[in-house]
Amino acid sequence: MAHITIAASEKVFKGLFEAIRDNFRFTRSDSGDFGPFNAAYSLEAHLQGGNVDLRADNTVQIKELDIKWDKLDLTLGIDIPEICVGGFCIIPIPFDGCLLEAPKICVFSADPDISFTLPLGGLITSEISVTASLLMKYATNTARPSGMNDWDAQDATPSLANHWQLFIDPKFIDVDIFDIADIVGDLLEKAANAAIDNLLGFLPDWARDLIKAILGSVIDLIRKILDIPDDIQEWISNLLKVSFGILDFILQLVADYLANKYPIQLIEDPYPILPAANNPNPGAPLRIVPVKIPIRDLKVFNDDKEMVLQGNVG
Amino acid sequence: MGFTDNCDIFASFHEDGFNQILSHIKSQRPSLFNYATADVAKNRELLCSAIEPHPIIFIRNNPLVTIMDPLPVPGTNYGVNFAVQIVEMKIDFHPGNQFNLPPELNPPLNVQRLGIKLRLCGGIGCPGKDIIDQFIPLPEDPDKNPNRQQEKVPLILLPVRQLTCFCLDAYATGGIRIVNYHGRPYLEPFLDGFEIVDIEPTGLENSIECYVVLTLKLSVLPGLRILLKEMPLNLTQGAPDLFPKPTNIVLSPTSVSPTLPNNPAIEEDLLKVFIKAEVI
Repeated sequence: MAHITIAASEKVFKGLFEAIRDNFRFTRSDSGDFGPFNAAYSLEAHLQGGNVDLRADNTVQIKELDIKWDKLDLTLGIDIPEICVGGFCIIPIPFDGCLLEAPKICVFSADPDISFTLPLGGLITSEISVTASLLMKYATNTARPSGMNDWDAQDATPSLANHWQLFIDPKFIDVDIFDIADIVGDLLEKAANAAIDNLLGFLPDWARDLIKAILGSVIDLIRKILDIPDDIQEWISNLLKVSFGILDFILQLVADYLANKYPIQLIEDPYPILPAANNPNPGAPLRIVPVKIPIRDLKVFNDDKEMVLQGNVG
Repeated sequence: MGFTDNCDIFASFHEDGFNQILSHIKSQRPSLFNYATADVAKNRELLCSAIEPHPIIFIRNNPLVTIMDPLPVPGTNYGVNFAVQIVEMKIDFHPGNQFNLPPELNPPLNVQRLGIKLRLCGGIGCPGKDIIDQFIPLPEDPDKNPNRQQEKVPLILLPVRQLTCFCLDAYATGGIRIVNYHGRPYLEPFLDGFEIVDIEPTGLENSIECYVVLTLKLSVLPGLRILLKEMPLNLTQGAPDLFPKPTNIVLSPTSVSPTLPNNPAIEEDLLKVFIKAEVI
């Protein structure tokens, strides 16, 4: 029989899941140059909904956990080919040039020429489902010099102690990410129009009308420059998922948290069962060492009712 | 039947694990188990039982023995060396199967009870007759001023070549319960019986046992009470970038009920604890 058994009910697991879910926050931002345009994003997200289920096959299932994008601002900077208007002769002098020329005005000479931000936060929904098993691993501290005793390892700053680590080991992760609402097309068109109006605002009316006539449909122009196919949602989704790697980032984040970067519990080995104490006798040393017990054969498993941790004292 | 049918979190500790822990404490903190005068501590071969410490004790220069004042010889300034050692300590959760209780403790071990076996060794440094004779005080000088105050002088330790040692086996039975004091729950060890084996005459045995029981009940066991205050555990402390607030689980004992008659429970060679958990 195991020396130590600790079991937690599914009810505790559900409570923990809800608390961890509600406390989880992440933020990230990045930018990139993609030739005819550049883009940047800034995101803040939290988790919502979903449920956790301990299963009889020694796995834990988290279903339909929503990622709520509190903020997902996508900023696009677009380089529009330069357009010049004016410069033609209003009053010519026959055979001797021009008495009065219309002023020549060039626009879209910068790179990028226009920049606008799409606030996508409320327009995107994402969902994660994970099936995982609980995993206990022994981590030998690789920074610890060979031959160092457990007490010197504990006293080191940072600690060089070895640990048992409890992880959730994902067997299956399904991230249904970036279901983007179709109004994003209108949003893009309005934002681009506003940006161009703002850029051309200094021009006289005739020049602005002329340039907009040359540009034609702004959204057609933007589509052409950005090489956007028919489906704007898919283009934005690909930009965020593939070009910026947010999908990989979220998958990595989930996998890291669940698998190896963030153990959900650490148990020092050997475990200090009595702390360091004052020397009962006068003189040096002033403090005597903590009492440590080696933890052996630690294992973790679950059925559909509870998670069980068992181990022995070495 | 699941471990957590009557609670949120269940924890059990097997007596073999407990005894293993006791052996680690004994080797890593020998000063809790060995008491002697400074002279005996310096000359460990005088001890009644050899100490086998963990190597870290020598590496860190930790004490093997808690140093005690010599045992005074009444009416003199002399003292004698002595040592008291707990050389064996074993715990047995119901049902009793680690050792046999003496008849005075009415074996077998009662349900929901634990037994403890102790082997104590001790001895005093009784000097030889030739040495004692050298220290017999002379009569007072009749011409000495009777009003002169005697100065307080430190105890003079009588020299010794070895301790006169003895060993005793002692047994205790008792349990662990949760009791409310001042409206708050405490985990409290308690004593049912205590027996020292083979001391004669019976009156001496009973007197020593009475004194030990008084010491245990009035001093030692009250000091071992543990206040079961809410114990928060932060489960997300390893990832502060993802969890700005801690995820705490607060633990407290599950109340006893018809389906959970004992908490803690001592049964099947285990100490079992049933815990209520609240995630905040």
